[in-house]
Amino acid sequence: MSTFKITIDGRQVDAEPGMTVLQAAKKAGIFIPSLCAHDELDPYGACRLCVVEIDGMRGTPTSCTTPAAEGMVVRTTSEQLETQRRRTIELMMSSHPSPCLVCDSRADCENEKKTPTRATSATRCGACSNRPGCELRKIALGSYSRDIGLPMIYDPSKVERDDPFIDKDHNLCVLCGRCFRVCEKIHSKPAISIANRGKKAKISAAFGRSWSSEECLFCGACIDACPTGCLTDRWGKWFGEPDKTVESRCAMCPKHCKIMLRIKDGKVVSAGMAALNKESAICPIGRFALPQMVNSPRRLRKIAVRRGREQVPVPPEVAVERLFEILSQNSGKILVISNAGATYESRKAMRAISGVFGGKLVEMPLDSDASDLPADIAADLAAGNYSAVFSYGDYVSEEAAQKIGHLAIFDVMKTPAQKFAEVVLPISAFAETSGTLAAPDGSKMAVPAAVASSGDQRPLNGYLCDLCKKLGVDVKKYDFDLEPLPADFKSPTEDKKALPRRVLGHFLADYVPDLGLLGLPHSPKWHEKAAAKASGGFEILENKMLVPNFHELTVKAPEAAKFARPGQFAILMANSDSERSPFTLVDWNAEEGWVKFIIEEVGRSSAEIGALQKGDRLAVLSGPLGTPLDLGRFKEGSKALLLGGCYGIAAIYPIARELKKAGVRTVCAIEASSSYMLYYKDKLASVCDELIVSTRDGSEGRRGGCINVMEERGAEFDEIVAIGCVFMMKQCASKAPADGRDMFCSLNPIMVDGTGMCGACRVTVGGETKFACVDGPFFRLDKVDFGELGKRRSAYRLIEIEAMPRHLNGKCYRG
Amino acid sequence: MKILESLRESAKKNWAEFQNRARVMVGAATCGRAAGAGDVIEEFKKSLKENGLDGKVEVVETACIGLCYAEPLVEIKREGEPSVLYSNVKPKDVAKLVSEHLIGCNPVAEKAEAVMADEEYRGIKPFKKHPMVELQKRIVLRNCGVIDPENFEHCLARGGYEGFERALSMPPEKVIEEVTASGLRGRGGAGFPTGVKWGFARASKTSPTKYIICNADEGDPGAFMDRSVLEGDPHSVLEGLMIAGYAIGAECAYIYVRSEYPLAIQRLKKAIRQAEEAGLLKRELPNGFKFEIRIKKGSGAFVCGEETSLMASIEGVRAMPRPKPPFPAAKGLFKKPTNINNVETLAAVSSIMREGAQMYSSLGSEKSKGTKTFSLAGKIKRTGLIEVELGLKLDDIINKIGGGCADGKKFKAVQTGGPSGGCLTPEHLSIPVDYESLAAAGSIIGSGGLVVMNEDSCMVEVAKFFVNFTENESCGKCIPCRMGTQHAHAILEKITSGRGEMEDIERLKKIAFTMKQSSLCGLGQTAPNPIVTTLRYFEDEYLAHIREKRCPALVCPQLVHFSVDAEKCTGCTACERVCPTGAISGGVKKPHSIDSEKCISCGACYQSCRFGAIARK
Repeated sequence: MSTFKITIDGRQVDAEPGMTVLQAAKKAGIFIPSLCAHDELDPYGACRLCVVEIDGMRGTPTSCTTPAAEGMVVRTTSEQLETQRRRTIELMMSSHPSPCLVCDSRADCENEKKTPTRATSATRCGACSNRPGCELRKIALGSYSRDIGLPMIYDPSKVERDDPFIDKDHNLCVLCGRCFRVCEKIHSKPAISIANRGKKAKISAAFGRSWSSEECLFCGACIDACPTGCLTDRWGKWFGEPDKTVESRCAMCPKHCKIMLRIKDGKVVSAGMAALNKESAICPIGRFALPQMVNSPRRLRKIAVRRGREQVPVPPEVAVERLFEILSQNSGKILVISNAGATYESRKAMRAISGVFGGKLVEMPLDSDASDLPADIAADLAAGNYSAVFSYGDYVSEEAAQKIGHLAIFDVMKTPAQKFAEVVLPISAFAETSGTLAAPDGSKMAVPAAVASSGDQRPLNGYLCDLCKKLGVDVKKYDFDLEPLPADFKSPTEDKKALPRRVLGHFLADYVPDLGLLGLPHSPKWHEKAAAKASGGFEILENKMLVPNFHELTVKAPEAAKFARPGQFAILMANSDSERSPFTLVDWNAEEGWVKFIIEEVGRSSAEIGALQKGDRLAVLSGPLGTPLDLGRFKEGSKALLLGGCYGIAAIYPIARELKKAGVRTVCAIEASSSYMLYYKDKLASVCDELIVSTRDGSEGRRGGCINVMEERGAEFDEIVAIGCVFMMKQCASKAPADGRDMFCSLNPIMVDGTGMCGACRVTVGGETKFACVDGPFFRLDKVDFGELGKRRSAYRLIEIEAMPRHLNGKCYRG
Repeated sequence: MKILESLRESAKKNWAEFQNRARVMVGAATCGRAAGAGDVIEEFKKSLKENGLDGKVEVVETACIGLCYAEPLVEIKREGEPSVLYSNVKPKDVAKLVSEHLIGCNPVAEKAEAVMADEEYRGIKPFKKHPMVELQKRIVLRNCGVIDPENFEHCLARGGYEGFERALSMPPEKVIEEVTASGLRGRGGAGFPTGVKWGFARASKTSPTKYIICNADEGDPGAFMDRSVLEGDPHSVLEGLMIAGYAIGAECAYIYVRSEYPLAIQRLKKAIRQAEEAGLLKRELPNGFKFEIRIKKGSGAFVCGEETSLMASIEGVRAMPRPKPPFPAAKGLFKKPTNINNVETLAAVSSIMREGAQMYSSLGSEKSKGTKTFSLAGKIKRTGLIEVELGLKLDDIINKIGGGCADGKKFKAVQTGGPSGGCLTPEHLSIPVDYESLAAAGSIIGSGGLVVMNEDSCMVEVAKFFVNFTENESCGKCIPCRMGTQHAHAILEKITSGRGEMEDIERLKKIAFTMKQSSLCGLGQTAPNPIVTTLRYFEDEYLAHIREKRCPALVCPQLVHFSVDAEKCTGCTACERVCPTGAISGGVKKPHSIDSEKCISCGACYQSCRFGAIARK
């Protein structure tokens, strides 16, 4: 192809036939902002940001759709172009939750909270999983628009979580069309498109049905293509930008598709396609299930060997020694259950072991479970006819396990049968193992490990090599040809019905419940567990979503209601195995026997509580806890300022109510990111003398936050109480009158027992160590070490991300 | 090339005979039917039968002759006498018309609108001298309301397909030259020279397969030119398509017509069948030209009138505009070179080819040649469909042809070009209506809709109406149009409900700029025009709403306050009975009063009062 020259901003640059002006500029390193354009997709021309001026062309054509032509003279900046772009961005931002982008405190706040809050609805950048990667944010911050001058449009009903794996927050959608264009490119017949016209236009499957009921194969390419946080991987999205991407092969089915594993902090956090085209398509197992399986909390991590009646942890050499003994002593009466999904090297070693010791070898297909064992072997197993069994994967039932003299289990996951085994060996999962897999034509394909194993985990072949060495077996003799992909193989990238259902005897849907929505079966045991419904606990009388992510939860708890005092909290647990988290008591009624909390969804535990509906039961409510605010110090006729942000808006309510009764002149100041996040306005107004409303984007009340109220009016008050996020309280402290007058904040660190025993809630106040649960939650605002508090609160960030719900109730967890 | 020679000869004979025959012709286009033409036809059939005239006097359905305000229109002819056009004919009038005119040979003067002859007849003025008709020049509409549109012979007798025959005898390049020479410009709104456009499609070498599309997706509020042409003279459009197809080298045409036009579709289907039976379509003609015409029904999205959306819709995908280039002439329908023309353009082509470019180019103004149809709608006295030479003064159209505002109200503005156009004011009455002059005044000719507003129209409300229309019809693809229309509508709503601020005017201007400059397609680029022009010419009305919280035209409910003038009130209780909120009290024969707390300013009382006792301010 012959290149030609065009002029962009006075520079002569090379262009090739078929190139657009945008592509030519990009190639020459000239930046033109664009959102809907994508290197791997055809021009679309919707976002109107890449407008340029071209000599001889009318108006301002979009560079992404204009083919470059010899001799073209292009200007990418001019006053008019900048104005057009800025105004288009303003229009875009008015329908995208953008208060953070216009907030005066954005830089400080993001410095304080380095990762976004793991909220359900992305009501602002600070609650959006895609904050680090958002293309709109980058462009918007580039042409910094401090005042968009237009009302914000936000609709909580636009958050959809009813499909497996993919969260859809249509408030963030700018209709760039990348998602359905990539869908069309990969699958020819797209599962999604834009439905409706004008303001109702929305990315949707046909007739507004769920994506899982439509053509969607959940390849997830739309997530990769989405420039905002509209389409996200429900589980993997909170890890942030990956550190690196490693090319690998998916070993979850015999097709062995090429996948790009995204690695963050040494963990596989998600998987993508090598390119956005038909040939590179992957299936939901590769994209979503593989990272979730690898990072499953049910991974087997410790080697165990039976000593007497106990299984004890041992080093690998000891375990291998025991395997050696078992083999040597049970020659001829051994069953080796290998797996066709293992690496070529492991399979060869398994064959060698069974061959040398005259054992029976059965190689299970990858997509199989115990019920697929050949009938004769299953019968022999049940009858206890094998004195030793080596099983790779979950193929030996608990009953059979108890009848086997010497059972060695190699597995990636924990299983109930393992407690009856003599040796239990944790195996590295696919992405953690290097080895040889079969290419579709049966040739050998080397696959490197993408991440290191953790704990005692080793690749299966690691143990087997050691064992073979010890046994003196020449593994080479057991060479075999790898099987090519069968001619009738149905690819799960083209048919949801062909998705592998099991791996190494485990039901995938048990570990990745979203797969259940795609029709994948669970194990019989899973159903037993799911059927066991929790009883007892505390009845939910009402769950009302006040604003996105904020639930007003009314719980039947007569005892707590009887003793509750303003400023106290309770520790709540949605389920008996949930995390214990403290929540402020915002209202109660001793006669009717209920208490109210505001649950802000910020992670797994709060999301689980937020998902409880009327009639559901809260497993644990322990409280009231903490020292109530000393109301005695507020004198009749004195003046008090109560500052509230986020959940603090509700937390100051019971205090204001009591102060009003006590005849204190009370001013309440509340802040929210934007008007659509304000709640309790009327309720507060009814119990205070003055209500000051601030929003960070100026969409309601005054522009700014409680910090401004503190700065301007703090000195008027005898007493000040500030309750909100760490950043808000820290900000208030920074502008508080420095004359030693009374001022308090309510701290909400990580707590476990809430009664002063564990020390998890340690805070430093005025140089002294205090425990927020018993010494607090109220401390002097001007004395708290907020830096330490912030750090301690985020100490478990990675674990909290891993614990993000894989799925909740099979539906969206909106209030 | 004479393909239809023998057919035409007999057609002419039959047409002459038809014209002379006693008959009742009823305007039964959509407009006539809406006015009750169907019942009138039934009544005539009944009455003729009762009078023993069935079989002797034929009842014929014709289309719209343009005097929509006077419908149902009925032409009655006795053999040997000129035909008389009656207006506002109701079924109850039929018996009299039959007995007095048809039987008694005494035209009913009070119902007669005009006589279809050159001379005055029994005191009835000739149709040509009718105030709505006198200044018209009917070329595209020449057959509308004159022939039976479903009768192929009528069409042939009046020169139908003569233009096609003439075109076939010329090389395609010459046809394009002729159309270019006529000065015809696209009548859909953009006004691009038709011949030049054809030239592009002819020259396109992207593929040997080419398409020609007739855009009949007329969607502007208040526009019905295309519908009338399709209902009144479908063959003229087919002929235009065949000429265009021959000229650019296409073998297949699509007519994209909205399904809200069932009668037009029915008549088009019939006309296509007639043309096929006559050997014009689906058969190789002597010079090797073979052509096919297909109908594609649209589903009512306004954006489908935009050519790239329209093509997407025919292809069966979501109708959203795509950027140009590539232009349809290079890559259009199914990625093949495509030419799209509007209904009126194609109808004009048939006349141009029949009578020659000179006939057409001699009409109109310097740069805007020929004639243009307009639909007169809104608060004008004579609503209807007209065709005038381009360059005629706006004053002539509004006040002479249209008869000025209805009920003697004061003319305030006229919206030209639908939601994409702008409004013109009394000061523009002297400008000639052509492409250049209207553009200079900030508006466009568009497809030809003229919506007249009088002193009772609130211009902020008018802008809101059109923006609401585009807001709902925006496809949603590009940000400026999708979000711009939403915000503009919200701001106008704010202003009309009395919550406007001065900053809102600046905001509107900003949004209008962004939409005009940055939108992807014509819909978004022109959607702010109603705002821009009302702001330009009626800023005082905006200011009254914002600063004084007052609607000068007394239209915006939140800004209008109703009260009872006790002196005029007769206590008839009419207002009390219609008030939906029970805000009016008084009692029989006592002056009423309105509780302003309960009043929602719906205006029901104002309309119900026969004594002018309800005051608005």
